[in-house]
Amino acid sequence: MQFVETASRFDADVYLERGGNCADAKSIMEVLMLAAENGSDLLIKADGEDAEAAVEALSQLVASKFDEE
Amino acid sequence: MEILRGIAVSPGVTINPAFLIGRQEFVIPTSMVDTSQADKEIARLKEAIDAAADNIRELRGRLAGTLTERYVGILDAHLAILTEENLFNEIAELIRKQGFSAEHAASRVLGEYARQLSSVEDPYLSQRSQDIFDIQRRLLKELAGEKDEPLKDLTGPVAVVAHDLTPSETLSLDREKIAGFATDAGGSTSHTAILAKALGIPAVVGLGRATSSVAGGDLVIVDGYKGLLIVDPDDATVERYRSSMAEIDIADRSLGELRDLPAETTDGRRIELYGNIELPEEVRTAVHNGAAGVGLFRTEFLFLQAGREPSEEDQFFAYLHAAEELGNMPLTIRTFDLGGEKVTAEHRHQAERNPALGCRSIRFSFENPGMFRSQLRAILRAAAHGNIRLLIPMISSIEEVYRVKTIVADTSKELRSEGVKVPENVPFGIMVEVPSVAVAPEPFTREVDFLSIGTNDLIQYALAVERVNEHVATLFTPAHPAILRLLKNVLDVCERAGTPVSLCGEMSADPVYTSLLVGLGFADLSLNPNAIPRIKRVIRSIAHEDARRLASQALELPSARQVSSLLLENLSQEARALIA
Repeated sequence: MQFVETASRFDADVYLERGGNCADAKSIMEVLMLAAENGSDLLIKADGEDAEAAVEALSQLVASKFDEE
Repeated sequence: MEILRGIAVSPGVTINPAFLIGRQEFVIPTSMVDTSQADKEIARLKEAIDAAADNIRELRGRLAGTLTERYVGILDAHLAILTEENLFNEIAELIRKQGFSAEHAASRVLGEYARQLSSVEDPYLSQRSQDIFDIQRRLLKELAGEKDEPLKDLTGPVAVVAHDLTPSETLSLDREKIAGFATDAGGSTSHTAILAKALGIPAVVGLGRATSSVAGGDLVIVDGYKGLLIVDPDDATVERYRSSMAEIDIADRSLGELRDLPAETTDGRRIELYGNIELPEEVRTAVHNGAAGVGLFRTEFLFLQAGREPSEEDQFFAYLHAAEELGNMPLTIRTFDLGGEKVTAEHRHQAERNPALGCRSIRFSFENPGMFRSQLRAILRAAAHGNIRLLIPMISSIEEVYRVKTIVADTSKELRSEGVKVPENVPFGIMVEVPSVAVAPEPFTREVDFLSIGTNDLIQYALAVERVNEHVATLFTPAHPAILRLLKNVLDVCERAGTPVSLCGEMSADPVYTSLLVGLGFADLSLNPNAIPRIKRVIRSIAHEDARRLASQALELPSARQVSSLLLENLSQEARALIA
């Protein structure tokens, strides 16, 4: 939820890739379905003016929230 | 009269007419619509989405200030999914390309998502399929022009009987009119269970066939203490429950007075009563009800609350919050009792044939060292700020104790090397719930600071009976002579070793067994916080000397039935009044 909210703050198109599947990071449904796929590596992609900032913000969120190890 | 057995998830008793919520199956017109009608169908879809979203917003507004944020969070998530442009586009495309009606397209799209999610092994994700079904139901209701929210239009207090309740159904209920819950499905971690508990409404789940045994309007008794649903009770039963409810009312009213009195027998034997809690917020209830501390904090519920493995920080704050609320009183934190159904996809690759005997509890924690380590780190960090005790579940061999102690020592060292303050000796205890420990507890008493007997699992393992299996549930009884002997053995060994031992199963909250437990020699009991005043009343009504005689008599009896009769015959008047 927080991930999608953060992604939605940017103008750039933001995508999440995992196990060969791709999801629109601004859609809860797509992110949810992606979470149901197997595979552990997560790739964040963005395309647009503030793409870099978007990837930066989301990576930080993932690092702080989802990756304790 | 019919008595159904389920799982008691929220205490209390109500006698009310049943309000039946069947499984709402929508008849979805599968007929195709002419492509020229597609625009009209898409417009209907848009309208339905808007109306359903308005409904959620309205419900959310009505709930504001009545529930904590995280429950309202469920509605926010539903709203966000429902109003997502991608979802609308996907359904609209199906209408346009396949010529489906709006109903058919919407149920196809959402149903497919829900099915995919429900097949995922991760329990958090598979539970989310219920949320998708919930959204689907809302949308179909709007498309069908059905505006009624049955739970909103109730006139008097009722007991809701349903197959299972979706989160929004549970949330849309009017506290004033819902007196109880009974559902066919669900476990102690279902939405219904958690919310009922938070709202203080008696609830029984996992009844199996409540919806087929009850007709709307039938008088039902929901017994949230014993996990019973009594359908169409006879007059004597109603009378018995009415008088016991009156007693409970009196007990509740004298709670303030009782709270500050010790749980002491008439001849001066002092018993300490601790609370069993699942969420940090329950500490307050426990203290309010006169608990001497928390004897069992079931941390696996933090998983459910967070929806996934809680981070070290989340756990640290949960433990800290609970410890601070308790002041000097002890907070006994049991490490995750996970496994069986409560397993995430990464952790489990194949279904176990016999989950109760499989990789669960401490075994599961050993299998997942990262998870276990971050839980221990959180507990040890919080231990610097309160009277925290560490409790390890489902120990079956002494090697496991050595192993845990090594991990705890390493974790403490690691924390100290990071400059974190960790107390020298955090009291370390184990659960006695596997017969191997109950039969031969000596070696354990030398390695641990305290023991805590979990009778629910101990009975299940010792008697080979699954408690929630309706075909064998009658065989599940704490009154079995073998159980009495196991308890006595653990007590005797602990007394010789000078190791404190407590009992934290459901048995400790049942007034029938209070005399027996006191007589066997238990000085510490840990129980559902809501049951503390009742058990305290019973303890204050009995003499330790009589209880001891009763316990030795019980130990001589050959059958559970005879033990039960003996206990029932010897109930004090106070205890009798509490038993329906």
